Amino acid sequence: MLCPPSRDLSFFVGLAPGTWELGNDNFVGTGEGLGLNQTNMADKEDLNFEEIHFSPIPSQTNIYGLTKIDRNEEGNKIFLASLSGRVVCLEYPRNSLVPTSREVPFTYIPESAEIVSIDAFNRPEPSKGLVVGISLILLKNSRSHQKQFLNIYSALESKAEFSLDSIAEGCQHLELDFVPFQLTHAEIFIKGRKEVVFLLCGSDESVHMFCEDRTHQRFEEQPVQNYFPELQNLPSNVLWLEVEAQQNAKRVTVIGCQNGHVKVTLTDLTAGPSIVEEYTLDRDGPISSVKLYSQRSSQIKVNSDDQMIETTTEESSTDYHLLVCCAIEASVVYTNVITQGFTNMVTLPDSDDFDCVTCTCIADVDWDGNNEIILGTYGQELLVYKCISVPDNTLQSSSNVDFQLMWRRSFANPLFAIEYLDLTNDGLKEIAVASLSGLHVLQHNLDKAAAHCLSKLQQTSLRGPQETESVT
Amino acid sequence: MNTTTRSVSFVENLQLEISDNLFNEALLLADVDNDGDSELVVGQINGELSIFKGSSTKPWRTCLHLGMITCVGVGDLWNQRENVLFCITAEGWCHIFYITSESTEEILEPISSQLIPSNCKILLLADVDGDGVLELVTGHADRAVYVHKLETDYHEQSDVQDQPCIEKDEHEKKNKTSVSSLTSQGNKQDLPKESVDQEQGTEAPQKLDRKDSKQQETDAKPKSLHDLKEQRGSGGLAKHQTFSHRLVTINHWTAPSQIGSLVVFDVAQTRHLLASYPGGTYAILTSWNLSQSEMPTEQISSSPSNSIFKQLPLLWGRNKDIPTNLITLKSDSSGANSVEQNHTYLALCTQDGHLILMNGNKLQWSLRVDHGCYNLFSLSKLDITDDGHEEIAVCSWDGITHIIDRLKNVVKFKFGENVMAFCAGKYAFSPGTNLPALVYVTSSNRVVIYWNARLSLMVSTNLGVKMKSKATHDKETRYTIDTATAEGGKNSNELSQLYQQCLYGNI
Repeated sequence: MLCPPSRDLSFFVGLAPGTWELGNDNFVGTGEGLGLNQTNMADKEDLNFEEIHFSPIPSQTNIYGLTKIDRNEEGNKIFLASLSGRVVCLEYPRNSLVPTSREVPFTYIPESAEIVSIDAFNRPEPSKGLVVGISLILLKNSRSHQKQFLNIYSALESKAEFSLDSIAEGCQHLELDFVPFQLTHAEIFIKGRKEVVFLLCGSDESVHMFCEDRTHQRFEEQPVQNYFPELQNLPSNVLWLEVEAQQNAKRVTVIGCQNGHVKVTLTDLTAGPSIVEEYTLDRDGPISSVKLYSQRSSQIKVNSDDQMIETTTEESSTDYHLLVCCAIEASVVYTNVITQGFTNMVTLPDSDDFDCVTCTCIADVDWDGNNEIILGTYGQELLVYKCISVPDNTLQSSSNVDFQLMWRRSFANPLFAIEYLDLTNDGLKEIAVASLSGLHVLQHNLDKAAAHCLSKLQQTSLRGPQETESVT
Repeated sequence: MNTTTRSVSFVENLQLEISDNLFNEALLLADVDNDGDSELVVGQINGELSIFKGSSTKPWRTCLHLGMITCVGVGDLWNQRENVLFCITAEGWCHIFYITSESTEEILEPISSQLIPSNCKILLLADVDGDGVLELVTGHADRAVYVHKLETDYHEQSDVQDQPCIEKDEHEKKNKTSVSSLTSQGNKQDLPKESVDQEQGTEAPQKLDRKDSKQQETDAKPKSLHDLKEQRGSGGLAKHQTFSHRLVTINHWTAPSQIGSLVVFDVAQTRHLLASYPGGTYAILTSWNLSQSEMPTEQISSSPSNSIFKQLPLLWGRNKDIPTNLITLKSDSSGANSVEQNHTYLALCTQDGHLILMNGNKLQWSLRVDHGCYNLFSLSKLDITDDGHEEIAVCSWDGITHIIDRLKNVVKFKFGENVMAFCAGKYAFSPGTNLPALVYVTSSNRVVIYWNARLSLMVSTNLGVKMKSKATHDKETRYTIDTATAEGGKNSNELSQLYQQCLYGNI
């Protein structure tokens, strides 16, 4: 299929399609609805974030414009791509309270290019290098003569310490015959070896896989059905793709499509990928985001390789929930999708009051071991939902799950992306929010964090020194 | 000095429409109606004076056809422990309003309107002669500075406007002989003595609160028993019917160049009245000793009659004609550190981006606002962290605002539009809660009040620093951390891993 009309594209890049007029109306409505803000003051007592930094970007970003980079030894970084072809990197240098925010000079991004999506990952052992992918559209005179590219940057030398500038220089330029959407990555096994590949959703109703050829040190497109049989014969353009590898050689893939189609697939990876289970669902509007998560904030996600503790095997496949955000409806959570499919639906209250939900993040923001849902909306609101009445995992009683708006914050601009990560290198994670105008860093109330930390430390010191040894 | 720069974004705002352009000095956040809540006063060139209160986007009170309003001020000029609103026009009219929250009429009527010398562009409400009563100091575009006193006459008077004009004329005639450039007109003796006594009673208070027009403190102390009686007797709204008010010029200077701003600045028991001149300089117009509260009259007349020209120790080459603004900051460190108490700082800002903070006669720091951000036309102040220390807020034409504390920490905020006028202070969006606020007037005649411009700290910190400071203050905390880290390896990296385990891991 050919590229969609350019107008359509700008909708995807800026926002989900067809919601502009609706959005503007809603925006006026929320501006006046300040009374609601006051009523939630009590809730704000429990959770509080303060903006500790804001770095402006030269032009607007979109829902695929934010990516985080985990480099344990060097601290976390975050990349925010703006439409004008600039990428801003924000990081806190070690032992510094002031972040540095600078533009990364990625090569082969011409002046007239517009960045659609950005993604980054660390190569698996042993090479450990950082790979950054940027998909862009090159406009030549008019929209009808546009070209699309995927630029992949990677440092060729596999030294542990990496400098952004050296990565930004080594570029591989792949021309695309479709308009790129989300760029993400997933792990696959080729001949028993773990590889990380780029998955690029496109306007041709398919997902493209780019895999690194180790011997030639270059990325090439590979047929996606060989490794991802669940990603073939898609009914519509994929707006959001989630791939989650499980412990027991299984993989869960979720796609959210432009026409409202949502598909959850459980794939067995033991002898070549084969689809075990598949559930589909059709919502009314474009799916802006889908997120697969478990109720418990698992330790494996938090930890890096060496601290992995094999304690999660018993409940790894049972309690996956799926958050589905549709552009024109309230966001919903389908509980236990792997075992029960789309049978139990819970609506997030008031999540459709602030224009369409553009971005989501799953994080344990109150440190109770359970995940909360963070939504960012085009209506300039950040919403944090908490699951009250934690479901009983073993029985069918999961229908009594309910979500409550726990905290909210207004912004001066529409929101496009959220990450929860430790930018300040102090062990406490921050919410990084990309809005139309820049990147906001929201920090927890430090007094609460410190109090929580101390109470935990006191508990552990009571339990005995051998456990604290393992901690340190 | 370890200083940091960061940028923030403020969200909660209130957008108001006004009809015409305005001067920067005609934008003020102050408690106009004496209810404890701060309001926004906007005086426009077309003679419209509006007061905005609370969350309403419509003016709470207005007054039309006042003339070309150049500056507004709010303060307790009549020494009744109640604020009055002043509005001075380019033509020289000074309109005085007394507003209470009880009165419901939306159209304001001035209690007094009278002529003062024309071309007034800045005003300052401060006690500049040490008598415990505020005076009105006006700075004029023709380089003159006048000190006026508000006098209250007891006798009933229907026409309040003619009298002061005559009074003024006579007054000026009297002084004609001694008028010369850079000469103080110390003619306090010429004033009717009893009027002074009526206003302030017989004793002046020992300690004087600094007052100025930009940020008027509301907690004026009772001056004397005599005053209280007088106030009770006169009783609220009836005042302007039984008393007439007139402004009497008691002193004036002619400056050698344009005056940017007027401030009073206390250095070691001496209070100076300063006027800023172009090129980053200022002059001391008058000074007197605060500790000697008695005989302020002598103080004034005996003080050196010429102004002292202060050249600041600027290291960079500067433009001699660049407009300069001054502001004084209060820093209340009550309690803990008794060594430094109630410091006032003097901030000086030139329009090309140089900022200086003086503590007494000492230069505290100087700062060059990063390039590309010139035309720092408006200097204001607010206590953004609510800790008793005031911060400087300086705004440029393109809306970039720098908020700088006395330790040189900078917080940047970018207001995305061009700004015609700017002020900072407190505003009560909801009744009873004065929050730090930033007010911008755009070139499209829109007023934007960021009514919740609150920051918990000027410098962002992190959990590691927080825990360390907790540990130094609290033994138990230190013990807990020490046992957890097994008395060794207190490297910040390991500590942050430990905190991460506490918060997110399953210990």
